[in-house]
Amino acid sequence: MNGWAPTPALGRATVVAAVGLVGAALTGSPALVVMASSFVLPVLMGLLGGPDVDPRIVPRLGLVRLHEGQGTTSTLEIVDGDAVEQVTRVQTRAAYVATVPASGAMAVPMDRADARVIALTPRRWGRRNVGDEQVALTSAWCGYRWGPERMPAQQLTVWPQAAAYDSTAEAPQPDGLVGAHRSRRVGSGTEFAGIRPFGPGDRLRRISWPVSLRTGELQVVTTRAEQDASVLVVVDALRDIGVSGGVDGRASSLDLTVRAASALSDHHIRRGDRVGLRVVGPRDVRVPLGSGPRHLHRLTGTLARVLPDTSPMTADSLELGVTGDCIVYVLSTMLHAPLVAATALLSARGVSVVVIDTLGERAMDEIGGPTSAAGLAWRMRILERSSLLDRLAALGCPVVTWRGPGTVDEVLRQQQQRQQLPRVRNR
Amino acid sequence: MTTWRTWSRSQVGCRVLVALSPVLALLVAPVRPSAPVLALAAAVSLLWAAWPELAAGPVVLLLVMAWWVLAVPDPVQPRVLVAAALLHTAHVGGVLAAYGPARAAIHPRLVRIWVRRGVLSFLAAPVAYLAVASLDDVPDQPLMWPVAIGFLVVAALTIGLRFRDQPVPVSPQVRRKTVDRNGS
Repeated sequence: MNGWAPTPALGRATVVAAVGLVGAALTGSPALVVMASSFVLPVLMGLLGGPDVDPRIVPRLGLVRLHEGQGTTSTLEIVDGDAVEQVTRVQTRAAYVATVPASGAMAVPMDRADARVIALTPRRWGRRNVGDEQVALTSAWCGYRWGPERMPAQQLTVWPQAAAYDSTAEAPQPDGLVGAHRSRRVGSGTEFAGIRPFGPGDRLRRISWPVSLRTGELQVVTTRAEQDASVLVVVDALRDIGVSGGVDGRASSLDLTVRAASALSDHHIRRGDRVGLRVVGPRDVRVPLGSGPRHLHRLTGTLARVLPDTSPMTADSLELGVTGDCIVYVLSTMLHAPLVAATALLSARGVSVVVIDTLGERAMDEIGGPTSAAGLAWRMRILERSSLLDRLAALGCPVVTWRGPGTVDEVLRQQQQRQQLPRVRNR
Repeated sequence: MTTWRTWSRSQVGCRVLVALSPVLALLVAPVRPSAPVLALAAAVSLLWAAWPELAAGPVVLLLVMAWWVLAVPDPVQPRVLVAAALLHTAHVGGVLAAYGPARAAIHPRLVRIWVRRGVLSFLAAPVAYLAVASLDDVPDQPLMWPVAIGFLVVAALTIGLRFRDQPVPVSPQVRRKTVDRNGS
C-alpha cells in the first residue's frame, strides 16, 4: 500500500473516545467520561502529526561479494522522512543467511539510524537473495502509517571459505615457462643438475673454477629449469549428498567439493601455476587455464555459482577435455559411473590424475538407520562405489580423502617419481 | 507460520498486557462480572492480543466501558480510575504490539516514549474524575455535559501541543557520517 493511511491504533482510540464521550453526553454517565478521557490526547496528537510528504526508501547492502562466514549490513536510507517517528523492518528469511537481530525484524525509532541496521552473515557459499523485506513507517503518536512497502531482494555472491590449505609437493609435470616447480629440463634455475664442459653460449658466471682447475679445461654448472604447472580442477556437481549445516556446521558433499576446489585453486595460483576449472553438472562450466589474482577471482566466482544437478543421471560418457600435460584433480563423490570412467581413461593416457574423495562421513541415521530401505540402498551404493574406486586404484590412479593441508602431497610425490620413468602413452 | 518460540520478549510482554488488562478492568469493579461477560471479554482480548490490528480492540474496550456503566450502580469511585488506567494500558500495549510482527523486537526507546505518552494521556482521567466527583451533587443542567466534554477536548489538545515530541535535530556531521557508512 502506498501513501500515508490512518493506523488501526488511531482508529481504535478515535472510536473509543468518540463513543465514550458521546455516550457520556447522551446518557450523563460520569464513568464513561473518566474512562474515555485518556483516549482523547492520542487521537488529537495522532491527527495533528499527519504527514503530507511521501518518504522515499533506499535499501543498501554494505558488501555484495564476500566469503562465507563474513558479515555485511543491510541499511535503509529514508529520504524526506521528517514526519517519520518509527521504522519497522521485516526481512524474509533467506536460506543460509544469519541475521542480527535473529528474527530479521525490528521496530525502532526513526532517530536511531544505527539501530535500524540488520547485520547479515551468509553461512554457505553460493548466491543468496537477501534484503527482500517489508518496510513500514509511522508518524508521531502512531497516527498514520506509510506502507508496508516491499523492498526488492538483492543478490549476495558468497564465495567459498578460503580453507587453510598448503602443499609442499612439487608438480609432477611442470610444462610452463616460469614457475616454482623443478623441471626435468636443464635451464636457468637454482637447483643443481650437473657439470659439463664449457660450450659456446654458456655464461661466464656458470663456470665452476675448482672443477676447471682440477680437470684442466673449462667446466660449467648446469641447473634445472623452474617451470609452472597446469592444473585442472574438476568439480563433480552431479549430486549434493547430505545436508549442509553452513560454514560452521556439517558439510554436504558439494560443500566439501567446492571448498576443496577453492583451496586448491588458491594454493596453485599463489605458487604461480596456471589453473583451469571444469564443473561437471547441470551447466557444463569450463574456465580455461590461467594465472594471477584476477583469474583466481574468476575461479572463485565460478565456484560460488555451482548448483547441484537435480535431473535424473544419464549413462552418457563424459569427456573431461584435458589437453597436454597437466595435473587433474577430480573432486568427486565417485558415485557416477561415467565420471569414474572418464577419470580412468585420463589415467590410462598417462595424465597425472588425483581423485579427491569428497563424500565425507555420512551418518546412517540421516537416512533412517542401516536397516531401513534407504539405508540398505545406500549401503549397496557404497559397496558399488568402493568396487569402482578399487578398480581405479588398480589402474594407478590415486584416490585420497580430502583432509585439508597436505591432502595430495604423498600422491604427487609418487606421481613425480613415476613421471621420471620411461613410459608408453595411450592416445 | 509464526510460532510461539519466534515471538520476541517485548512483543510477548505487550500482548500479555493487551490480553489481561481489559479482563482486570472488569475484575476491579465493586460488582462481580458474570461468567459470560468475563469469558467474552477474555476471548475478545485474546483475539486482540493475537492480532493487535484487529477490530477486536475497540470492541473489548467498549464492552468493558459499557459494563461499567450498566452494571456498576455507583461508578464514580476511585476504582473507575484503575479501570481507566487498565484500558489505557491495553491500548498502549496494542499500539506497541502493532508496530511489527510478533518476531520483531520493539526497541526500548519506543517503549519509553510510549510509557511517557501513556502517563501523559492518562492525566486526563484523574482530572475528569475530580470534575465528575465534584459535580456529582450538582442538579442536572442540560448543557453541562457537552460543555464539560468540550473543555476536556480543548484541555487535551493544549496539553498535547505543549508536550508534543519535537523531531531530534540531526547535525550535518552526523548526517555526513550516516551517508558515509551507507557507502554513498
